[in-house]
Amino acid sequence: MTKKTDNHSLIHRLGSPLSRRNFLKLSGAAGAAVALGTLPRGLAQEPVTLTYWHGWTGQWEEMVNFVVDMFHQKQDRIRVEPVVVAWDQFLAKLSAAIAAGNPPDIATLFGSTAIPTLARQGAILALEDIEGVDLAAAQAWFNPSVYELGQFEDKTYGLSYWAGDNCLLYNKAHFEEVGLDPEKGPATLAELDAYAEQLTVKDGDKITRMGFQPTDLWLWGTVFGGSFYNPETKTVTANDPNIVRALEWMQSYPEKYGAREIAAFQTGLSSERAQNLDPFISGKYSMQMNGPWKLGDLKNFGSDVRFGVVPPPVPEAGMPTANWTWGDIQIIPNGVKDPAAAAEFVLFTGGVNDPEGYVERVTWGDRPINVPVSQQVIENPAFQEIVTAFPGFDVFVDALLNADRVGSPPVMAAAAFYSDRMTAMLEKVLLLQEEPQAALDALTTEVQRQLETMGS
Amino acid sequence: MALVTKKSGVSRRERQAIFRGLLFVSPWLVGLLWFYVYPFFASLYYSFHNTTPFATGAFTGLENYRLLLSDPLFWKSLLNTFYYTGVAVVLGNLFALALALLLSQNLRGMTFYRTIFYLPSIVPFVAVSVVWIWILHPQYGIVNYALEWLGLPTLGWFSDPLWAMPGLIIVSLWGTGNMMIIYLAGLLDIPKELHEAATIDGATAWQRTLRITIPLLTPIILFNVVIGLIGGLQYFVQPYIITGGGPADATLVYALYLYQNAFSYFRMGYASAMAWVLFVIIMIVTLLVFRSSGRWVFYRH
Amino acid sequence: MALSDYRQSTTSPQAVGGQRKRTRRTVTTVVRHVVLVLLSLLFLTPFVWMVSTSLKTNEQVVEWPPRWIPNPLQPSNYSGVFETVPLLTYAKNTLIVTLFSVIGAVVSNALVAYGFARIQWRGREVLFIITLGTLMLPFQVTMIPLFIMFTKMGWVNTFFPLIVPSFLGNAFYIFLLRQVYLGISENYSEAARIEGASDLQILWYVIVPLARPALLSIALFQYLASWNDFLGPLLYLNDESKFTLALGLANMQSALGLSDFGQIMAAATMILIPVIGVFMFTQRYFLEGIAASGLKG
Repeated sequence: MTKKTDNHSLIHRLGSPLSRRNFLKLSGAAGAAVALGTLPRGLAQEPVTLTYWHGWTGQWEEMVNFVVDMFHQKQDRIRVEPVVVAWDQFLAKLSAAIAAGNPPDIATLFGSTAIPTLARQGAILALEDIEGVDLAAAQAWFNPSVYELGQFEDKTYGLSYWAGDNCLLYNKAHFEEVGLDPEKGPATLAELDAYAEQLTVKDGDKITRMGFQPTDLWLWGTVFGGSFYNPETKTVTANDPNIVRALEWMQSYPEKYGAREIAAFQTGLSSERAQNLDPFISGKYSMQMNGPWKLGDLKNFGSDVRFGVVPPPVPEAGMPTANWTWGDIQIIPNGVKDPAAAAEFVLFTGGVNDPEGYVERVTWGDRPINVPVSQQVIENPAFQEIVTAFPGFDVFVDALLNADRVGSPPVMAAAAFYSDRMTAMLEKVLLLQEEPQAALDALTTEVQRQLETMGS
Repeated sequence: MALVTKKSGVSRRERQAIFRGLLFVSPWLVGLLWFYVYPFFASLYYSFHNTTPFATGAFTGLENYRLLLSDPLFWKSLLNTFYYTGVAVVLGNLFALALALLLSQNLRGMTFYRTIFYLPSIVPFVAVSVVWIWILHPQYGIVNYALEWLGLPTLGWFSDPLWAMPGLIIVSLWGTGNMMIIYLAGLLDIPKELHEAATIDGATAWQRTLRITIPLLTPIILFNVVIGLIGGLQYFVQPYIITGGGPADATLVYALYLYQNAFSYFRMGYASAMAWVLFVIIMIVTLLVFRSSGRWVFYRH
Repeated sequence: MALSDYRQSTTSPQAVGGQRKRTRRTVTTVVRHVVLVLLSLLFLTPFVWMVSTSLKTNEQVVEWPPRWIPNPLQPSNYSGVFETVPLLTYAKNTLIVTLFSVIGAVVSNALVAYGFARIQWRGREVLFIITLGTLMLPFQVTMIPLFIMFTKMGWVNTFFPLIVPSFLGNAFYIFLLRQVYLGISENYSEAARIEGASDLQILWYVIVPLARPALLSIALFQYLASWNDFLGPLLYLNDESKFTLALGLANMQSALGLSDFGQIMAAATMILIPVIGVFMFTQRYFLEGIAASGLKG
């Protein structure tokens, strides 16, 4: 099925929800325990209540509630009330609420794509402009590449919970089956292609197991050395020659294995949301690109799967390593009654100066979710414990922090459009209905056009 | 009601009548002005500006409309919508009519069959969409299973740009029950004497259908076709839920592209222009159908 | 001839043809039955399949070849739905919206149609034509300004945008009721008027009782429209605690669509039951209402 996957959000990378009731019971008990342990103080003032919009559902909604609970435990001046707003309407509703003068106090944007438009319209506040915000501490805390995610035109509009990235998971049992060394994942694309061919199993015309299948042009375009947008000249560069080469490589898969066969194979079950039906866990793919959150799923639902993790293979040996990242960014709309309080929560979610607390949150459910925003977190012992408990996590962290090049979603007004059109274009090319160069040229033109009408 | 009219102006009686009439109609007047007239003009106004959810924005005149004409997605989505509407309305009506004809003979269990055919058209679209995603699933769907069993090639349905729209059309055919009911009512309205007279004259069932039934049904056909066209051009929910417009824009219908522009890309002015173009298209299509109806619709007197 | 009358026999004795004609007729009848049965099976299949899947585990769903009756059954999907989403809240919300909308639709349109049908006044027909015109207005034209307006009014994330419009008339229902009212003889209202009845009294004591089936039809149509409404809730309801069943199901699909199919089918089944149930009991009114609208169109 061809549901558009939003690259910038975790929402499409979820496992199935844990029992809500159980979690609520647990957190209720925990909360009660904490309350009992805290001496009541005479309240000097009424706590400020902030509304917090986000788009997470299922178990990820519980994660947000967990974060909010921790915030309440840490201080009692500010109370945060999370509200789930479905993501595909999020931006429209947020903008309308801001325009009508009753916005939420904080909102999480999946990805930074809306920030330029919102900033230009004066719809969101720059953290620099808020009194009492220790932005210097935040800047020192965050890794520069993660900090940048919330920036636009030299102002910081939001901070991210974490940074996403991708690595290659591979099934060791499958490797052994076809005579490959299970301790050596592919390092170059040539190896990847060759291994994929050996690992693919067909039953007549039907594919029953895919060795590998590239689907993410944002990632592979970056790995090939390409860049999707030039903010200096404000030009869309989807037809960057490196990106064209990346797409040609991606297209080689349907060319080799059959577009229809792949489409049929891929439909429906290729979503990462499917836990124990997850295509990697259930052995449908021998190798798959994924994010750190998958490690938790593997532990919980695929404990019998022996897997290895390697960074994204490079086109040729010796080429610079690359990765693609994005963030889930907390922003503060314009017109909120207490920007400083809102900012405090925003900084809290990024874990500024609070490694232990952050570790607890970013490994909520005792599993890795994403790459932490700060080097200080990585060096923290509590975090190191998680890394040891989840073999492969260190590869994910390393693949982002030590990559030579890191790409992230273009920060410009037509970003949502760019993403949608990219998906449609990929569908055409991977169905062998269009050639990469022509498709990318067309994409560049249409997004550029859109950008110009929207005033970048 | 005798009215005493002056040469100019309204008589007292008339004025009273107008007052009474307006009084009763007043809820609708409020509704009309508030939910129809105001938005009608407001959206026209927005279409002349760079409207976003934040602000009406700068005046741009006919710029949005010009951009529309040069927007390949505008044309693509329009084409998709015409494709869907044309096929769905024609097939839907044929199918509904056939079902109604089948049901109009007094066979046992008629109410039972009627219920079964009508039911799919009253269930929530959302539930329908969700079920059909699975029925037409390329790998695990029962339709492909049936095809395979019959020795036919299986199809990609919603993952194949060629078959995605046919898939949606099949879903809408399943919901053709409400048109069937209208045809059924119309069929039963045809006086038996006409059929009996024809039978006595030696007409076969087929001839009777062609020469009597169908011509007498033409007003209803007109009604169903017009309603079907107006609805089809606004088709939105199923593509939104099932395919999101894909694969490769194959099911990007006009209403969906409009929605994306308004709510994902912040381009409410542009979307408003799209809405107005749609309105004009609907008017033109309706007009054309009504014009042509003079030639093929036969009204009983 | 009312829809409910058609059970009368259509076969009149044929003097000509005799045996041969009767055999042919029998054959045709049999063929008709066979076709009807096949088509019914086809139409029922999605429902059956939905229920069947709702009783499967995820692994059973993707079994090939697909099985109609899962073994073992998994009724826990149904209880599972309540743990995954607040289905009861959704149901409560849907009931609230539906109930008020139905009341609004019946009351307001009963009044409005009276103004269009039982009072002669200048400008009536013009207004009626305009009313009909709104039927041709695509919802996209009004959607954006209404969204912006409701947001400015603070009605977003409340049920008001979903309920208030039904209290202010609806072109289709006005059209329907007007037809019905026009069919009621003027003698009745004249008689009442002679006895000194006001318009309102005429409406209540004369028209409404005679138009009761039509009013019931409208109630049912509105019930369906509100229960099934998706776009309204999509645009105007922000947080989950306000979702209606339709929106909740769609949300389930996009959040879990590929991970818990059994539950989604269970939820879909549960959402359909009230609709089908009500329909079973009130078929006549539905069908006659639709027929009435179609025939004069």
